[in-house]
Amino acid sequence: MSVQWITMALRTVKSESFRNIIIHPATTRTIEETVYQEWRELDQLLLQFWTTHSVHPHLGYRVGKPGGMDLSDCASDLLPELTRRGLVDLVEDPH
Amino acid sequence: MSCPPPPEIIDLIVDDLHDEPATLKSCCVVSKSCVSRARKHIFARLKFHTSKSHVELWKKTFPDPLNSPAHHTRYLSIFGIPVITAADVGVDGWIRTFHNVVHLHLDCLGDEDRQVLLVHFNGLSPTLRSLSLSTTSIEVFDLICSFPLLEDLSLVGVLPSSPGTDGWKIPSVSPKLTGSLHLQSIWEIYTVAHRFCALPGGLRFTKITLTLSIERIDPVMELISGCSDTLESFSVTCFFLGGTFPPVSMIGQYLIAARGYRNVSDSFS
Repeated sequence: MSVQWITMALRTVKSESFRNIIIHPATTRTIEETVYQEWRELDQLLLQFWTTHSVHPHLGYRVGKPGGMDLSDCASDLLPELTRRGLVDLVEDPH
Repeated sequence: MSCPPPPEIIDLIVDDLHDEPATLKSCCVVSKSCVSRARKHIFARLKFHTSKSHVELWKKTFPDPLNSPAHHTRYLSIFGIPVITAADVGVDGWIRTFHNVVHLHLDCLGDEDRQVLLVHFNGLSPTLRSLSLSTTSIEVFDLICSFPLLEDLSLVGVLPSSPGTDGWKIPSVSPKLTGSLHLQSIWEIYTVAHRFCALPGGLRFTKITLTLSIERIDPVMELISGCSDTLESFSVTCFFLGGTFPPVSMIGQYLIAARGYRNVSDSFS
């Protein structure tokens, strides 16, 4: 399972009031290349949401989670276009 | 001889102290004129912990349910559904006296027969706006549908249905469900999603928060697309974003542990 379903689910959204997306990746595993590709598709969709609906995406992460990866470092890999444009906010998840 | 302040002034003072229960209790000790107004605030939020015998204490303190301050309660939380007797669920029983509750939280941890116990809370308050259920079974939809004005719903730790309890009938009227939906650690997400989508009038949630480890996307897709016209906010925690899901999810193991009456709240944290 990956993030493809999130992309597919978000594509069904038609509400003009849609304004907020928060994604909290939670993993201790190495991300496979196929999953990276799915993140890039999500990246494109979120960019589209930003352009058309001003939907502001947030990426939740935990600082220094034992055994986990620091998502603040790999946000540019997961959501490269959004990160490049400074459109994604990193939000620290409560412990 | 001093003249007591007029009741209107006392009411204003007591209302101003609405979020200071200790001070309100002191006011009641000092002056009986504060008691009536202070009760409205002191009993606005109640938490019953079965393990601490709160229900027994409540019934002992207020033996006549009709004269209890339960009608002041707006936020009611019950952790561990207590042993419920016929008298408890009657028109004058302690449960039914909480008929003005707006926010209800029920944590069924430790209750083997959750469905039977939850039935007693059906239609508890016609003005209920927010319902939060923890460690319950899938047979909660009758309870959910018994609150016509329900807007916000949270289901955390929904266990599989017991054998012989899968006879859910689609209700003729659906609650409003125009607020937030929070789903976390749902065992039978297929059934849960299908039941939501089967509600008459369709789905109208504006905020969806998911913390799930799902193996097939169909039910969640159905849920989100059902709210596609109203959705304003979507929050998701995706487990195992690299690689495949294990056959039995990590969350599932927690739920199995819950059935063995272990401390599931520690497991979820």
